[in-house]
Amino acid sequence: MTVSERTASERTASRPEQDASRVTYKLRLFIAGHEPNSVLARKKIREICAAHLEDNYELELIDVFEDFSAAVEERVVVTPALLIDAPTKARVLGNLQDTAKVLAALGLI
Amino acid sequence: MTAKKPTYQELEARLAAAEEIIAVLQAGQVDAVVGYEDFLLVRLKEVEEALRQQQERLSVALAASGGAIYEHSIPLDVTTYHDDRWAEILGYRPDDLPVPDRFLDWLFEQVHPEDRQPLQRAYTDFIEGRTSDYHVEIRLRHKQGHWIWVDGLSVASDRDEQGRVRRLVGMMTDITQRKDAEVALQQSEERFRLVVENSWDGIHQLDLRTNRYVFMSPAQEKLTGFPLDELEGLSLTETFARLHPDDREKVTAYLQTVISGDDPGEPMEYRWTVKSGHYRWFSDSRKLVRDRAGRPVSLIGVSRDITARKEAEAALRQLTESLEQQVADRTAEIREQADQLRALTLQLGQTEQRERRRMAQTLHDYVQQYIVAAKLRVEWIVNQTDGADQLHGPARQADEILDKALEASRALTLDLYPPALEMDGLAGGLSWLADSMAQKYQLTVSLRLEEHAEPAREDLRFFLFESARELLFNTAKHAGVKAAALTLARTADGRIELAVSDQGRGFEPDRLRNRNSQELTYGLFSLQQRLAHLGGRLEIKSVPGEGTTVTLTAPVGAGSPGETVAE
Repeated sequence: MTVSERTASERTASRPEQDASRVTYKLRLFIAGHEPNSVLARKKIREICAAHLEDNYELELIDVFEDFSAAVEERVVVTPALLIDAPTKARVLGNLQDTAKVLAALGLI
Repeated sequence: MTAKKPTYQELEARLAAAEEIIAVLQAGQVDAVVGYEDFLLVRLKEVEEALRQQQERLSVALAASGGAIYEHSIPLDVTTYHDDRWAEILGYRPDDLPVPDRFLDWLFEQVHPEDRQPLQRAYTDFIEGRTSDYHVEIRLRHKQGHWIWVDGLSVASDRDEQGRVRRLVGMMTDITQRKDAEVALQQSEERFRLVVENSWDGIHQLDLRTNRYVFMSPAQEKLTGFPLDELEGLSLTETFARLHPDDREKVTAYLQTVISGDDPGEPMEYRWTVKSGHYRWFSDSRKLVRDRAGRPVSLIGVSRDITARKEAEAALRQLTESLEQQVADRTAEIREQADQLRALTLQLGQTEQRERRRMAQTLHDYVQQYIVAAKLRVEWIVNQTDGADQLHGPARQADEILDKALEASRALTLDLYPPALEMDGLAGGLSWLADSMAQKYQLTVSLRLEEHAEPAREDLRFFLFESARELLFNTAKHAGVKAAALTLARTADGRIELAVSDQGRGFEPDRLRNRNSQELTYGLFSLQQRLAHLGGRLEIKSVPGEGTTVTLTAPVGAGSPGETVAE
């Protein structure tokens, strides 16, 4: 299984039946393959989404090993990095283990 | 990127973003850093792998050194790190160590009470930036309860603006064995120091490269009278100058023996001028010390004042000498008395000889002449009378009595001083003696007389004659036989030898030897004494049942017995 395949499948897995325009939270997680912090970050963001965002979100996983042009475009210097595009633009760097910091960026606390 | 000039807000945002990037980098939450136009990509995993390898190499080196690594921030947090070896040194498994926020308190409790204060001080000085590193040797309690010695060296890996340590890394090593060895060495040195300082013997060390004394123990002050600071640094030449001149050669020889590596056996003894200017006797033994290459480096010595012993020895020697003198004096006295006794015996013999001669002379010249004269008168009366005459009978009886008296007188004369001895020498005398023995005791004496054995001196002839008579008389009286042999001969070395032997009863010679000389018959004792005076010897050979041989030997030319008599 390649990272790109997984990324694609995960993108579909995050509520494929929903219309993207209807959701409130649009998230992009930049990761670096299966590096430890990336694995931690991916696991953590799924937990947070499940716990706090219910079905009201869209999460895109972008592996910089596969595609770093998006990272360059978004000026993502380090991975893991969570980019929140909606409802308010924000970004959280690092492995996302600090849940409060992520929730604050999402405007939930 | 556009070349548009950023606004203040934009700059501030970028700075905040940069700070955030730095923060996650420092926190180790980053996997990769993404480059910009050149698409530079850094995988931290590779860096970590490199670090891990480096860590591994470090671990191997640490394992070899026995050291353990620790690292922590101040105050302690989750990043506190102790490697497995750290726990192992204290007897714990890594999982047993307490959690970080209790760790420092726990560790402090494990420190030996005597080490806590100095440790606290050193730690505070280091943490507050007063010292560059933190190096301690302390005792920690092992999990099993005993104390172990550890060496801890920490350096700061991060400090704040004031120089206070924010993070430190260090190494801990178990130095228990080294410390135990140090303590043992210290105790041994302490014991040695006590021995050296309290010994009555002086202990010193002579450096052979400079020929100067580099060490003197306190006892040397008492022994020599000099203060220690004057003694230390003395050269061999200076100490040599204070030696008694008669002892210098001996001391030089001793030192050469020791330096050449030989064992001199006993300590040397010498006289040395102490501070007061007097000689004192010292006993001194030296031992050679070599360096690792085997070259002689110094001499360790132990010296002792033996003046008292030497004086006692001298006193004893004097006493011995005086005792020996007394014994010699006493011996001389006894010898003198013995000589006097011998001289008296000799004199007695000579007196006897003289008296015998005089009496024989008197008997011959007067008594016998008177008897002959009386006999002539009595014979005239007998001739002038016949049996009828009443005088005839008594006159005849008187004549017979006079004949007997004359005969007795003649026999006495011969006994007292045999004329044969005077006229025919010793050989004649002995022949007469043999006849006399046969007549008086029915003892047959076979003679074997060598012609040239005849002594020239009359006193010796008389002595030998008297001796022969005494010995033959003993044979007749005790041997229980009717025959004896008498020989007179010269030995190979020119001495005269007179021997009387028989095949009679004999006796145990030991019996004779064990008796006091007083118990000997006067005759034999007198013989021995007179013979000794002549320088002669009496030998008795006898076996019970197998007879007796008595042999006299006397030097012919020995000093005249008469001359040695003190008158």
